[in-house]
Amino acid sequence: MERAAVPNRDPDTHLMLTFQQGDPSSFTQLLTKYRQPVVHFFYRMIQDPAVAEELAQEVFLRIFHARARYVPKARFTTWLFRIATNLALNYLRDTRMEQCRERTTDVDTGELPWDLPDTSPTPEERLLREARVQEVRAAIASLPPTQRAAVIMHKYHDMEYREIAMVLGCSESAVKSLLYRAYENLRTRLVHLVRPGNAAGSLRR
Amino acid sequence: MNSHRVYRQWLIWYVSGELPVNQARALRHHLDSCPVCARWFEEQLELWRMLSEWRLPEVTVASNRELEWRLELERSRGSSHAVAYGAAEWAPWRLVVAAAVTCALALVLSLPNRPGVATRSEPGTLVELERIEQVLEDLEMLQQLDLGLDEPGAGPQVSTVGTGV
Ligand SMILES: [Zn+2]
Repeated sequence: MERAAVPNRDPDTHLMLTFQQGDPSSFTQLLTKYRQPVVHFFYRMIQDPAVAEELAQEVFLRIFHARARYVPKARFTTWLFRIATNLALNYLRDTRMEQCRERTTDVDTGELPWDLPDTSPTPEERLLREARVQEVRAAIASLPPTQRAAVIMHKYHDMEYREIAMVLGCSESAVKSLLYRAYENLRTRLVHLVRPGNAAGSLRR
Repeated sequence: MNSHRVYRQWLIWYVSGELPVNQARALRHHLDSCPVCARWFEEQLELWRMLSEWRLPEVTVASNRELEWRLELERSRGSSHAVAYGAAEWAPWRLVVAAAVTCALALVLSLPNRPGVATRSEPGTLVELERIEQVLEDLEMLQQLDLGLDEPGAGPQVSTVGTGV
């Protein structure tokens, strides 16, 4: 299943290997570079800031522990997101997301502490944007966990199908199909927010 | 016809910029003659834009320090390892630094409800220290179980991976 990528040309794999050989600054560099993406991944998956922080720490502690036995077979980010995805899916399986779903589907519960402060110019626009973001969050939370992970990696982490396939341990075509179903679910759920004419003509430009 | 579905699948890759040029040309040709798919495309484009609106703030320095502190603790516990985070050799002053960071962190986290700060844990308390000790012990146990995390692609499998697609 796992494809032989070109890990030697991956600078992060190189950092991991130098960390393995005893250079602690390499780990610090990896931590600096990937801590935020990993926390954001967990936040979008689980939508609980405290759990996101906790699981992100877990990822880096596991990498720290696994350094002695690290063998590069794929890009470092593939390995990183594979650990993160497994932790997130296990967490969701264990908690079944009930509380989170309740919270995110209730538009009136207000901002979670982790939303960006809104910079929309008018109060009306601010309210509209807030409502849209709430619905986006709820729609993503309503996806089955594997679809959710695929969408988050694809949309928010700019990962290609091939890498997502390696993270999820499935084929590239399975990922394409998974993403198609996920985006279709999101579109169906959010279609009432679509403003007709907004996107018209963009394709033909 | 089934080809609508194919074009719709292409639309997703088109919107995310991943569709090859020749397929994009065929897609544009189809959209010119199929109002149903054209409408679907507009919705997909708008969906893509809406998803982009969900942005997250930068991770706080306080949470970075908590992880550094945990790694520091780990390093001081696991001095038997040849390679350790922070230094290759035992350095007692690092514990002093770790203690100072812990106190500072406890102070920061005790501030009421600042946005962006995970408030669930309170490093620096005895309970928290015990909890972290427990976590680290669990981690060591997990490591002994050899879950294959050191091998990319060989991570612990969950039921959804590979079967849920
Ligand atoms: Zn059509």
